[in-house]
Amino acid sequence: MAKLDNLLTPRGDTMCDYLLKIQNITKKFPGVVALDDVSLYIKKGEIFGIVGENGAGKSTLMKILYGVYKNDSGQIFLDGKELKNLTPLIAQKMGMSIIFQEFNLLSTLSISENIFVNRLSFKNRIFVNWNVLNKRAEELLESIGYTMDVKRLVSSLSVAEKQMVEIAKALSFNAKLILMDEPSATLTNKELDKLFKVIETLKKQKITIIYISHKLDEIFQICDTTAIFRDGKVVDTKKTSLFTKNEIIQKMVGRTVENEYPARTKINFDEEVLRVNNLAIKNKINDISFSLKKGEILGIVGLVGSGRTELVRAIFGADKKISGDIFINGIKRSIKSPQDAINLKIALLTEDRRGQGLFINYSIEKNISSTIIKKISKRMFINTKLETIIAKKAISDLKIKCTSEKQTMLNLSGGNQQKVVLAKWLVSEPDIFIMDEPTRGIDVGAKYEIYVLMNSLTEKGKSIIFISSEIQEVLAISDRIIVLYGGKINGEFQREEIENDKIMKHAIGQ
Amino acid sequence: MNIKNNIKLYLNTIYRSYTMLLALIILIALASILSHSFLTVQNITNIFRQVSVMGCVALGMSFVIIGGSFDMSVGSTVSLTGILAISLQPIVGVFWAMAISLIVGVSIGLINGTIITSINGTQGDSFIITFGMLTVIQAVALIITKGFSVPGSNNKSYIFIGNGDIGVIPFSIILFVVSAIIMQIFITKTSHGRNIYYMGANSEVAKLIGIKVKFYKIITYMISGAMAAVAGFILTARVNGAAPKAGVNLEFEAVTAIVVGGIGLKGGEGTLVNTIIGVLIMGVISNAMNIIGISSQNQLVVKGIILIAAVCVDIRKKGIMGEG
Ligand SMILES: Nc1ncnc2c1ncn2[C@@H]1O[C@H](COP(=O)(O)OP(=O)(O)OP(=O)(O)O)[C@@H](O)[C@H]1O
Ligand SMILES: [Mg+2]
Repeated sequence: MAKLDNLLTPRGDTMCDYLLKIQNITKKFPGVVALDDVSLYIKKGEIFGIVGENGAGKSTLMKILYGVYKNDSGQIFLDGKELKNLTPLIAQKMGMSIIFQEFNLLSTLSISENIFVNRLSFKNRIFVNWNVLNKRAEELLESIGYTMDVKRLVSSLSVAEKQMVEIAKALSFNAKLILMDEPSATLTNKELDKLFKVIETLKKQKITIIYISHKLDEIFQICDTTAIFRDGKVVDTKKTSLFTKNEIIQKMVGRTVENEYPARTKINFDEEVLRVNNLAIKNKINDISFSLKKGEILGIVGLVGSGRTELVRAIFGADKKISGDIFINGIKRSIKSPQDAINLKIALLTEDRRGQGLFINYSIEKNISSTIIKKISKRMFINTKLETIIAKKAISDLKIKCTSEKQTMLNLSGGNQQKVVLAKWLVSEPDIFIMDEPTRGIDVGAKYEIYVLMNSLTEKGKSIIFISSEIQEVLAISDRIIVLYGGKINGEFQREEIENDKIMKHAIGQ
Repeated sequence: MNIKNNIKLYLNTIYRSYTMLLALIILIALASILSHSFLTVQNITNIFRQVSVMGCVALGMSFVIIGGSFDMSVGSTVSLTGILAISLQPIVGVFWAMAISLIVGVSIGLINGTIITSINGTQGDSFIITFGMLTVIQAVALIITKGFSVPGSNNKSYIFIGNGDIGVIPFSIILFVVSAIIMQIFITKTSHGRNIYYMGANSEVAKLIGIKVKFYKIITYMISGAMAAVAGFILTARVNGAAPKAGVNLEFEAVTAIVVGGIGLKGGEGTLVNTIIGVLIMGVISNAMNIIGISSQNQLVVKGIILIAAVCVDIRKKGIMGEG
């Protein structure tokens, strides 16, 4: 404790060195202590990393700082002034902006409207000057490496694109303190590099950033100081360079993790379970053919906008295809709707958990059973006892942190919501499991367990199509990889040939 | 601390689900103080008798609202099916007259549902489309009757639906209660009911887990149409006669009852218990206003204000629970 104090308290420094002082914050929700006496001191112009397991309290702290939740006790000082009765509007006026972990975009509005929502009025003007706003929105997006028609509706964007809009929005406030709650969760390396460049520029302008991520490499790359959260408490804070990766993991999850990825034994795959021939989707996918073998993990790699998600959605029958044939176990099948796909024992875990994956106001239990409601019913009547048993088992198998299986999804942390999405498809026992960003927002320890789970699924003869923006994990656990670029397959690699650089080159179109 | 928190959570749940029940009890107490003729067996059966028509409409409409849409066409569906049931009796007999009316009610639902699902309509679209349907059916009812009332049935068993008693209990109340129980069991206990909830909560997510969203949407409208026809029977049997505008405003009264009862307008929330409580609240208010002698125009003002207030409460509740 004494050692910690040396690093934590502002002793010796002049008070004004700290832009943000968080002192003894406690926050309780029914049944959980989300934050337990948390104190952090954040310097002006610093990039301050926060890491911690799913449900450790990171997002809760961000929401308190931004006035979404009220702390039960403790104080917050910004520039030496105590913040009391904070609301998001006041926080904004005080010079803060935030990227929420779960997006807060209005899907029926355009990109630029979303970026400038609530701030459309100008001095001496009655009408909004859209030309100026659209141009500004374009510039903001371009600064993070993303060119896009800003008049497009947000509802038509992919998760990564929505993430970009959220980032642009947070940047548009010219805030002095930016809170970033897992901004990189769905970005690929290319977009991430751009984001880091922007962050470096902001740092030079003495803008302070709190950066939350489960990808520890990022933390080492950009954060000056890092705090580790565990069960609502700060277990350590120091200069990031003084940490080792293992030390962080150990302090996060309370045990050491030997390897980031489990070993994957090589098997010979012969039986073909899925074959896609000449698939095309309007404006997105151009003549794609590939196959998936029994027991195989097929990785799909590609930048944001390369058509990864569109490809699997079309296979699953969620989007229309222009042409293309799909063979399941050698038989040609017409998959016109998700229902057709599910009947053929195909599952699609969608990348957008809020919009497409979860009934956010329903309980964990009702979400998990949603895929098997017919199976757990007898003559129409739902066997609710069985429903509870299945939910309880999934909660303990995947270590979902919750107060009970009756807790509503809305009150779960982001990573735990993601685990429920995974659980609801696992209980349906598909033969072909398409996973689009299955580990989005999941902590280091739990990720490992998901990889183990994927291994054991394939050992049981299931096949997996695995999409992730985190190229390392695709490389580490896939048996074969196809690389998408601009709606086409631009390279295919067997496990032995997998190399990061080579694959990235194909992903950017070389 | 933990226990205290849990108790708080528990009390909160109770509070949420039973506020409207509490409101109903307070209303009844208030009405009994205002008028000693309120809390008599006769008046209570009277209230039930009065609400059974609107109640049946509200039960059917609840399915649609839980499924994430609106059905505003029910008012004139009640009129039309009532007219058919009465005027076809001399031609085809009671049984077939009722059967045909029921089929017409269900078909109106089928048409509503098919139009809405075929354009992938939103909740707002469903409001407008069924509103258009309300006008169309109203016109049909006026055309069939040339604007005149249809004199009542002389079939005893038909009149029994609206005026008969089993023991001391009016048959129309039994019909309402039995429908309510069956429908409540269907929507809360069966896989089909659950799928309607999933669809109402988020139809995109529902589609992606293989739920036949279009099918279920159409089904909810068909149920709503069928219940409107049942309401048409009760109404025409009670007053022994059908009029082309007999069902005017019923859709409004049903929505009011549903919202007052606490079924969220967004869909995927609440059960028919909410609907029944809402129906009874509205019934007690109407009855009390009748006893006190408030004119029917003024009663409409009161009901309109109640609807607006209930919607505001509904939206506020969402606002508080909403964004995280
Ligand atoms: N609105 C709420 N009501 C009840 N409990 C909540 C609420 N919000 C968060 N919690 C609980 O508080 C704890 C901390 O959640 P928080 O979202 O801060 O975690 P996190 O560190 O951001 O996790 P993740 O890495 O998964 O995003 C969790 O146990 C969560 O279930
Ligand atoms: Mg979080």
